[in-house]
Amino acid sequence: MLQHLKPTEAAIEKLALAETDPAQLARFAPVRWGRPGNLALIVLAGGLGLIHAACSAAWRRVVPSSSHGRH
Amino acid sequence: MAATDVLVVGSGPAGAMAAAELVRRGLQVTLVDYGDDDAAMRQRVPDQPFSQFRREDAGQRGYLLGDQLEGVPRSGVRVGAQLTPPRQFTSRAAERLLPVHSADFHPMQSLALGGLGAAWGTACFTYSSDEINRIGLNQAQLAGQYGNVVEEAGINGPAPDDTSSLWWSGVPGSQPPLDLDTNGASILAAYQRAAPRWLKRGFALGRIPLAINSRAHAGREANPYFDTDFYGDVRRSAYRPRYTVERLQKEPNFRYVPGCLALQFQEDSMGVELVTQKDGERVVFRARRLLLCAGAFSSARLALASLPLEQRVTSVLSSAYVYYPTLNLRMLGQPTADRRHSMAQLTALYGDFSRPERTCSLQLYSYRSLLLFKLIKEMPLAPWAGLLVARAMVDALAIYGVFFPDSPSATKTLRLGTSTTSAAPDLHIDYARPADEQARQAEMENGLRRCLWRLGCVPLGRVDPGQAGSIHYGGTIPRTNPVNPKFHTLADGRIGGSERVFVGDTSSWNWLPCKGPTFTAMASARVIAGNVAGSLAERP
Repeated sequence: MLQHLKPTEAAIEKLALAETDPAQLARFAPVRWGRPGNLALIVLAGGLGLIHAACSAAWRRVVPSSSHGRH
Repeated sequence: MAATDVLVVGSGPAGAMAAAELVRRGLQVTLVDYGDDDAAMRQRVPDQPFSQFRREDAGQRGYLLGDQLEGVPRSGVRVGAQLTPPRQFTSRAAERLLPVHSADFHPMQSLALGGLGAAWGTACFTYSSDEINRIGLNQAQLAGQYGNVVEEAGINGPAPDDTSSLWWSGVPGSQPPLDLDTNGASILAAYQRAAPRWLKRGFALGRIPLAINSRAHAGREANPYFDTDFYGDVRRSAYRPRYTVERLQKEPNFRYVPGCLALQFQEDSMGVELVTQKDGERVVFRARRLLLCAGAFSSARLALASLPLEQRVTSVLSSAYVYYPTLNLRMLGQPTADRRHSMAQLTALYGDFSRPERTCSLQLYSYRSLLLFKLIKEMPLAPWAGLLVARAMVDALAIYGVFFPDSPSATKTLRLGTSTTSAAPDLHIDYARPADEQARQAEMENGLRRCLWRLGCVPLGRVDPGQAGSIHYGGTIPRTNPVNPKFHTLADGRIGGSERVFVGDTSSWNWLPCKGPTFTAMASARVIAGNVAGSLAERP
């Protein structure tokens, strides 16, 4: 059910290119805020990210042209 | 056409080891192989720690993602998706030249120099006498070859104790174990605090024997803990069968012939003729004996295409495989050392250790050098959030790969078809696990998940890469064939009804244990090579 909330291929390709750019390394560095800090980040980012992904998926269904890049 | 004592087909772990044994015994050996390779890509990976070239090398995209971005997975999780660009040559030619048709069984085959061993995870296991009997091997003969495999490959293993002796019998010549990374060490420490209780629950965890040098050996260097093992290995610390082929090429009684796609053999009163295709031309080899080590699918393909059989159908075995990404809570938000090797850190067995059919095995990997975008791809989150979550989790990610044993069944078959897109005939595979087998696997997985929770590793999901996902295959020309009884091998490795054709790989196994087959397959190949040499002495 959550399958359609996963990032599009275009978004993943963009991330892959950024991750292999030494100038952008800091964007991909591990976060080490201690156990409570990292747990809080996972819960917060996970929750908001899920809502954002669900809204984006719904928008793509309403406006099909915005699904460009998903194969 | 050139005459030789023994023709070996395939340069994978079995073929390389069999050839080494035959050469050691002074026989004239020709190794016929397709031998695909990608040395140029391999050489682009610097001899530096992963964290260093990630900071400094502007050309890293080429070998991390591939020049055509072939390292960016386009679809869902599938067999072979884990191959990084420098290792993709392992299955590249096979995808084109060895066609397989199946609804849901898509094996990874190889025509590479070194076969599937070119991308092997290097995990090594010895088997219990029960497991060896079920496979149909001879324990005493195998034990006599373990030391030769350790000498050739360079294998580090744990010192024997009550736990590790379940998967490694302390083979002489083994090197000291590699250092664990921070993640692996924290999980092992948690386990060891209550080891007797874990063992009572049927869960045994410890260090994993790997075919990686922990000290310099046989002209290869010790692993530098650069965490680059999925990309390159300038120091050759991890064993690859091509190192054996390269060594043998310096011997006067060995010849390596790459570029050949083996198609068919024909036995006569003088020896065996092997027909291959090279650069579009038919090339024929002759020898007194033929030893098939082309892998479970290609050895069967060759034999099915060559023997006078009523039915060109046989059995097939493939370990079921799933993996569990888990969050090791002990390491969450904690600093970790960059110094690590990339292969499995630990192994475990879960189940009833006295009943191999009711035991599964685990391999624990940390996740770092495979890059974050592959994690984010599987998260049902907006990319910005996936990135934050991945950054917060990456140091504490523990990936448990779980392997199950496989038994033959009338519902697991392989049939030879006609050639359509390649000179090699097509294979048609129907593979379905019977209901009782599926129920047994589900029961083991349930118990296993409980163990992971108790160990402080929270499962984040369950990933099933498909029926053939383990890349552990065998049983296509077994000693006892339930699908086609006339298509089988004898105890000495010869194909039933043949005088001069032997099978040296896992094709001849009756059963697949949950523990990885490669180490035992290498020892078994040397045993069969010894039988080939013996048959030549008896009847030239």
